Amino acid sequence: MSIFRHRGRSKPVLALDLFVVGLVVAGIIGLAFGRQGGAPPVRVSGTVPEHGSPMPHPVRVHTHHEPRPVKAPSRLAIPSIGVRTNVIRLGLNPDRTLDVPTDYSVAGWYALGPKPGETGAAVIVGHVDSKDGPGVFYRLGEVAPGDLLGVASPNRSALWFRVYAVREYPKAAFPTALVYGQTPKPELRLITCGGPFDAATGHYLDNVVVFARQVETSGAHPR
Amino acid sequence: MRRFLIGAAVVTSAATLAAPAYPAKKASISVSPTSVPAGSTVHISGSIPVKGCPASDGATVTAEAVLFPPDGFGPTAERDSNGDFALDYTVPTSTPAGSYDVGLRCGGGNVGVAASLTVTAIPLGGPATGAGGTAHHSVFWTAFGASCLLLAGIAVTLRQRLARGGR
Repeated sequence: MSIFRHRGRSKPVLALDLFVVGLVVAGIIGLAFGRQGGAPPVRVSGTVPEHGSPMPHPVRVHTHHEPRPVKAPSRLAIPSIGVRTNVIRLGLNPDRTLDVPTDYSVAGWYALGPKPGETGAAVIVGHVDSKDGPGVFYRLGEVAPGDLLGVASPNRSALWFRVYAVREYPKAAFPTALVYGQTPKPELRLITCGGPFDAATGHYLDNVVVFARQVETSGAHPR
Repeated sequence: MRRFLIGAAVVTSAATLAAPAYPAKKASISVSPTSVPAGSTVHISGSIPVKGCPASDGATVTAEAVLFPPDGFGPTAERDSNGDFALDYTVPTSTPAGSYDVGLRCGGGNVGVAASLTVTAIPLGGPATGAGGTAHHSVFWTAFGASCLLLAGIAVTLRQRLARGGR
């Protein structure tokens, strides 16, 4: 290594050596960052049943717990990350994957599943980003257990859900039954994309899932 | 009370009509909850009188093959001395949405009772909720890293020339 052979001979040469070492280190760090490029980081937290059904013991579901029929959601609020958005209805694509909103700034509710407030897991999805910039759920990974999620329907007071877990799953191993399966009480799931971005397919490799349970008290109408 | 009696009479006559091979009145099956998304676990319970089928024979639940793959036969549950049984079954995530009649077999015969289970659709896999617009910093950092290494290479060359010149 000729770089080190003349070490200490002259100050300009020593400075250049250090500069080269600095550049190599910066280069390696830069390339490492580049490989990890993707959605904003997610603070995985809380606990969910990691395998099997969300109902480890069979539960008799009493639908009469619902004081009055709930309606389809039209607004969603996540105060902890400053999200207030419209909610549209979503169905399935011909390949049975979940449809997603064409508008990156609104969220969508899976209308073939339960409504928020009904027994079971209501699912609302939103984009983490578009081709041009952040989407409605860009900061979803910052949500933490204890945060409140508000869902409202036209002319109804909001239903509130408390977050109990935030998880990131590879799309290749998405826990469909855990996310969409029956639950003994009304729950809510928020889903967006996360993890590394695969430029070849144009898709992120992971999904971020926020798990929440309905809280008994109702609150202000999310605007 | 009168309503209950009428209801009981209807149930009894229905069971008798539906199960000619098992004249005992108590053959029954129920599924809870009655409607679930695919991938959920349901509780199936019921009773097959020991007169029609000895208690040593298990109760096998049956339905369309998409509910109980691959052949339409579900799990077999042991029965107690009264002929009662109970089991938990997780509906496959692949089961299409629809209403399914869950029947019962015992001792090689069809008991002739059924309960309805409605399966609602769930999406396949995770949603495609991103287009990569905010992932571009990966391109930036890759370019930055490559530039740094290139500069380092140039500097090494320069350094060698400088060292040679200084000799």
